[in-house]
Parts: sequence; structure tokens; C-alpha cells
Amino acid sequence: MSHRVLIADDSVSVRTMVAATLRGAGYEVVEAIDGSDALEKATGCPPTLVITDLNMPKIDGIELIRRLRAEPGFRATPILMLTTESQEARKQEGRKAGATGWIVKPFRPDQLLSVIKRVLG
Amino acid sequence: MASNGFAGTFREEAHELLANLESLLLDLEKSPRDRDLIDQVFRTMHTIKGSGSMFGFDDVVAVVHEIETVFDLVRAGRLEVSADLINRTLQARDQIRLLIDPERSGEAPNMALIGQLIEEFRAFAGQQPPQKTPLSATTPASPTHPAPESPDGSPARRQELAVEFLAGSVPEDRSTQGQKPPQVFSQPPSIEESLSRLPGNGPSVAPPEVGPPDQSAEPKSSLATPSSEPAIWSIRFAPGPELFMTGNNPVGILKELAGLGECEIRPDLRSLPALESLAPESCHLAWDILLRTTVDLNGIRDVFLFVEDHARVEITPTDAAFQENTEFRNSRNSPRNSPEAAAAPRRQAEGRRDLRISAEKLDRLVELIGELVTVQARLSQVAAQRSDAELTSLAEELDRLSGDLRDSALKIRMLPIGATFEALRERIDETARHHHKDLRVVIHGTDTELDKDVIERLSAPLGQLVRLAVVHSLEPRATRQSRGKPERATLSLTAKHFGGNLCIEVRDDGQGFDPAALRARAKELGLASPGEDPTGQELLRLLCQPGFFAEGGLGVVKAVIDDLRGTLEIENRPGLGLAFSLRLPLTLAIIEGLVVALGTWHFVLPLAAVEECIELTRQEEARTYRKNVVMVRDQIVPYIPLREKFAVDGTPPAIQQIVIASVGQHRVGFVVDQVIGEFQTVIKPLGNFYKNVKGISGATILGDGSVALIVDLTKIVQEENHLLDPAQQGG
Repeated sequence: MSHRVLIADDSVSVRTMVAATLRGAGYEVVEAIDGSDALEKATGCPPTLVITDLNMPKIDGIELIRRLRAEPGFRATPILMLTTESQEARKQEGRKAGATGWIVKPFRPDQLLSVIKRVLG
Repeated sequence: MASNGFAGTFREEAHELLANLESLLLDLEKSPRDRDLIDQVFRTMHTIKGSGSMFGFDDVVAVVHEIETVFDLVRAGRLEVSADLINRTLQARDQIRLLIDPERSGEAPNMALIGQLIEEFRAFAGQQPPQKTPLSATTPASPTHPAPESPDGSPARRQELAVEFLAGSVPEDRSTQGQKPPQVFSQPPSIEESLSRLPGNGPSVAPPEVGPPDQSAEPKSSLATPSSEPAIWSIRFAPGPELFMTGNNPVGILKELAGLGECEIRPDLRSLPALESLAPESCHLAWDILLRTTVDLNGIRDVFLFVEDHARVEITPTDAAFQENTEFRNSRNSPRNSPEAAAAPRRQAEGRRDLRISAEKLDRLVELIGELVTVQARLSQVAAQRSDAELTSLAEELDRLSGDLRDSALKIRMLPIGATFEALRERIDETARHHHKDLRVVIHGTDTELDKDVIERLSAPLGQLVRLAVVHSLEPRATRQSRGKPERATLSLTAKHFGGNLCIEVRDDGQGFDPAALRARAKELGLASPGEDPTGQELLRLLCQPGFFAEGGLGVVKAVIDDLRGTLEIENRPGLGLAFSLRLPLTLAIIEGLVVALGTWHFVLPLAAVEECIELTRQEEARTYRKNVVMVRDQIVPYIPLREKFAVDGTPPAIQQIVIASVGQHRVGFVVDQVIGEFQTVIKPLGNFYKNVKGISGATILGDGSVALIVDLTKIVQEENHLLDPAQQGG
């Protein structure tokens, strides 16, 4: 079964890199430019995994996680945060909001894939 | 590096963000308390920093980090926006643009100015300006004298930047939110590390974070092992019921662990509630894992990083003795080791704990139990002779206990046949590849248990049987297609218990042996020509002939099976496939026996094969014209007089007993003088001198201390095969 991954990041370079890595590994990818876009795309076509940046305009990553977890269909969906080393407090906020795990920028494509494998099983 | 192709995208993105930053800053100058504007400036810096770090722009990251820190303070209301801050940020913005893409700007960044700006931003953040550390003799340039640089940012220029930015002392508290300072700045990387992050200079990044925030401050555990020496770890992974609701998947974690080395995973089902009270969204399982790996403790803990708040994880080094753990070794290839299998476990694994016992100790235990059984038999006999009720009662009690003890001890010696089958699967695949055969292997009964000695000796004969099936019976894909068969052949391996024996079947849906080809080969070898369509024992005898097959015949297989007191049968269906059936005793040590008398001699027949006993009178013998058959509930059953077979002197009694047994696919009677009774038979080998006596597989000591021979029913039936001929039976 091909997994559908939603990547939400306002940085086009990071989003493109993540999407290309995932597509190269055989995942179906849906890209969202911010939290609001992600919420819309997630509810329209539910993904099996959500990867989100934390600082995004409109709805930020933490709020996105909170809103997704409030939806019955997303209670057990893995959600990974993209964080930086200086965002420790934000990361903890994300975990409280219901994030499954995180990956700290900078990361290599193979590191990203290995974390995804861990949560998707 | 794969991500380098995205550096161009980052440059474009950063240019746009920086262009927008200018107007943001100008607006902010007019409305210095506009929260939205402050947030946007902060976010711009944060995005450039995060993305820049992904694509090797470490020098950009270093500058942007300082500005981000200042605007984070502004955002938190701990710092006011001033005209000076706006001016410095605009200056920095221009330099960042030059750092990102000097070629497009046609201008080199002003390194001295950048250094000065960094100090000023640190001052804005309320920090002491850093003390300049003298540069080492190996550093090529100082910040005030920038080295010549290539437009794309040559290593020389970047090395200079790294020196500049990393030489400053690190303030104690740079955190704006109470957290520890980012590691990359508080623990400056070496110049080599910084350079290695630049495009084209090896790995771009440090490994992702390996522990939760509070864990990174922990000292490295003394348990961590050197990466070159594999160690064995015992891991207990007990997730809380909420695990699934965090989006975590234990299968992914178990799979990742399995990828670290040799791994045995056992589920713990003790907390699994009854179906009616089971909450499907809760995790009720735990796992015990034995992992042999070169990865150290921190590496193993990494795997549990996301679930540490939702699971109890205990990782302890195990005793080196586990390295030789037989079961661990034997079960490495077993399918139950797969995380999927472990995550959907069977109830029988509940609460299992293993203990390593040497095979020698086990053999000794079985030997002692054998002695105990022999003494117990004597005691029973003495009690019966003395008609002592109390002694008889004690003897019966001891009989029950020794029987249970024997069964328990024999079970310890039992191992599932799964690992042997899995090893066979590999050999089948290899043979199939070599002979260009396309097949799928189907395995049934992997949990079927068998004495470890029997399992060890079975490997070679089974290997030979599957080889013959793949090479001679399975057709190439095109042939199968033309015959209307599925293109892919099927070869099945099945194990099951049946009547105190283990039955193993190797069956395929190929073409079987062509009778004409068999006859031609027999002629080539100068053998007596077999019948039109040789089957059963005739076919087996043919296939056992030395040199019948280029890859070795069945002779070796048959010898091993005979030695194990087992039988081998073959079913050849030309055009439809081949099936080999093995029947083996479950254990080689102790069997339930039926003691019979022939004159003054006692013999033991394996009780597992015995179906019933009936009388044989002289009149009945005469009525069948001594054809050695008897009617048992309208069915003709041939019988073999064991007196004649073993040349026992004297005259048989007027009424003899026929012990009817199931041997292979036949019911056969064995005529004896008298049936004495059941007996736990401790099998003693006959020794080299007598081991080839036909029809006798061993000896045992009876309760009175006398010796009884154990009859090998299978061998006797094979020798008296003519009796099973339907024509004769009908006579």
C-alpha cells in the first residue's frame, strides 16, 4: 500500500526537498504552503502521515497538530514536526499538542526516510 | 549530496524573503510595536536559518541566528524595536544577500562588517561583546583581511567565515525562552566539521538529534559498548495504553530494532484483556527483545526516542552466555522473529521465559529418567507378585509420576521444525534459481515439535528430497504453460503429528517421474526392468540405486530415515506431481510399548502403532488355507506370524493373539503367543554387533530385569511386502 504523506512548510526549498525525497521513495505526496492549506488538504484527502514545520503563517504547526488531533479521523495518524535546535520549547509544545515525533533541521534525506519508516511501521 | 540540488531553490526563496524583509523593516520602523510585523520578521529569519542549514549555507545561518535571537526577544516583549536595530538589520540583510549569492550581486560580502554586525546583534540581545580569540597559525585569513574568494563561496572563503564566527566566546545565557542555547553554537564544531557541511564537502549535517531534550545533558552511559564488538542486549518495551493515540506504531520500532542486528522478539500478552473488554484503540502488548548488535546503548535508545513518554523501556546488557543460546541461534530464521509476527502473537507464548540448558545435561536427565522408569517397572512387578495392596498403590502412584516426568523431560528436548523448514526454503530457492525453475514454497506446521536429535539429522535427507523434486519433477515455466498448469510451480513442506509419529511431506505439482524414463535409466544401469508404472516400494528401491540420479539418489535419505526408525514413502503421479512422505518417531529415547510373549521370549511392539488385539484360533488359520489373512469387521487384514519370523522354537498355543497395527498405509497383524501389557520402554541400542539384525530396532529391560527386544514393525512389513499384494489377500 502506498502511503500518502502531507508535507506542510512555508519554505519552498525545504518542502520541495522533502517532497522529492518522499516521492523518490515511492510515497504519494501532498504539499501544503502553510497550516491553513494543510488543514484543508488533510481533511479533503486524509494522509497516512503528516510532516509539518512549526513556524508557518496563518495557522502554525502547533495549531495544525492540535486541530488535526481534535478530528476523530486523525487521532492515531502519525504527525512529525520539523524543528530546529533552538526550538526546544516549541517542540515540547508540539508534543503536548499530540505530535508523534520530530526531526531536527538540518537532516539528510536518508535520515528523514528512516524516521518515517519508524512511525509508519 | 542529494539535497544540494535544492540550493538553487533556496537561493531564490531567500532572495524573495530578503526583498520582502526590507519593506517589512521599513514598515516596522514606522510602527515599531506592530506584532504582526514583528512576527513576520522573526519568521523570515527563522525560515532562512532553517532552510539555509538544510542546504549547507552555514555562514548565512550563523548571521541569521543572531538576528532571529534578537527578534525573538522583541516578540517576547523583552526588547524594543529601535531605529538602530532596524538599520543594523537592513545592513545585515544586504550582507546576507551577498553571502547567499555573490555572483548574482556582483559584489563580495564585507566580512569585517558581518563580524561587526554579529557582535552588535549579540549586544542587542543583552550580551557582552565576545572577546576575540587569536587565530591559530593554520587559519589562513583574519576577518579584517578577507581572503580572495570565488563567487560560489570557495572553501577558502567559507573556512575564513567559520573561523570568524566560531572564534568568539560563548555567553552563558543566550536563551530567550529559558532553554539551553542551541548546541551548534554552544559547542562550536571544528572548522573541518563546518566545512564538511558545505556543498560538495561530504555529509552536510550532523546526525539528527538523538535524545529528548533533557537526555542530551546526560553523561554517556558506561554501558555503551564499542561499536566494533557486538554485544547482546535484553530490552523490555512496554508501551502505555495511549501509544496508538500518539500516532506511534510499535511495529516500526520493532522493525528498526531488528535492523540493528540479530534480533529475537517475544510478545508479552499478559495484559491482553478478554475480547469483550478489549479497547481496540489501546495498546495492551509488551515485548521482550534479545538484540545482538554493534550499536551502542545510545543508538538503541534512539529507536525509542518518540515513545519514551508513552512507554517503559528497559535496556540492559545480557550475560555473554546468551551468545550461545541454542534457541536464539536456532530461531534466527524463524518467521516468528519478524516484527509483524511478533506484533500479532499467539497466546501460547504468554509469559514465556527461556533458560539455557546444555544438550549434555538434558541427555543425562533423560537417561536417568530411563533408569527410573526401569526401576519403577520392577517395583510394579514385585508389588503384583506379593499381592501387597499398599505397595501396589505406591507403585501405581510412582508409575504415574514417572510417566509425567518422562513426558516433561522429553518435551524439553523438542524443538519446532520451523527453523529447519526455513533453511530448506533457502536451499530450494537456490536450487530453483540454478535450474531456472519458477516456484513458490508453501510451508505448513512450522510449530510442530520434534526431538532435537531427530531434527538435526533430518536436514540433509530433506535437502535431498527437495532437490530431487525441484530438478526432476518441476517443469520449466513454458512447459507448465503449455500443459495448462499455473506458470509458477508449488512445492509444499508440511509437518504434523500423527499417532505418536511426526509426518513430514514434501509435495509438488510438477510432472513427477516419467515411468518410461525410469525404465530407460534402469536399463542403462543394468538393473532389472521395473514394471510398467513402478510405484511404492518398487519405485523406492529403484530410486535408491546408487548412481540413479546425477545429484545423488534416495539411498542416503533412506539410510538416515531407517536409522531414525522412520519410514519413507513415495507417491509418483506422472504429469501431476510427486510426494515424499516421512514418518518419524517423536523421540529416540523412550516409547510406550506393548510387551508380548513368544515362547519364553519377550518382545516389545511400539504401542503408538497398535490398533487392537484379536484372537487367532487354529480353526481360523485352517479356514483361510494358511494364507495368513484374517477378516476384521469385513476387512481383510494380512498377518505375519512372528514365531516363524524370529524362528522361535516350540509349539504355539491353541489360541494365539494377533496384534493389529498401522504400518505406513497398511493395517497388518502380528501374531504372538500372548499379550502381556503396556510398558514404558526405555530404548537401549543393540550395539555395533547386533545393530543390523533385521526386524529389531533395539532392546529394553523389563521389570523383572530380563531383556526384551523391540520389534521394528516397518522393517518387517517391508520384508514381507508380498503379503500386502491384493491378489494374494483375495486368495
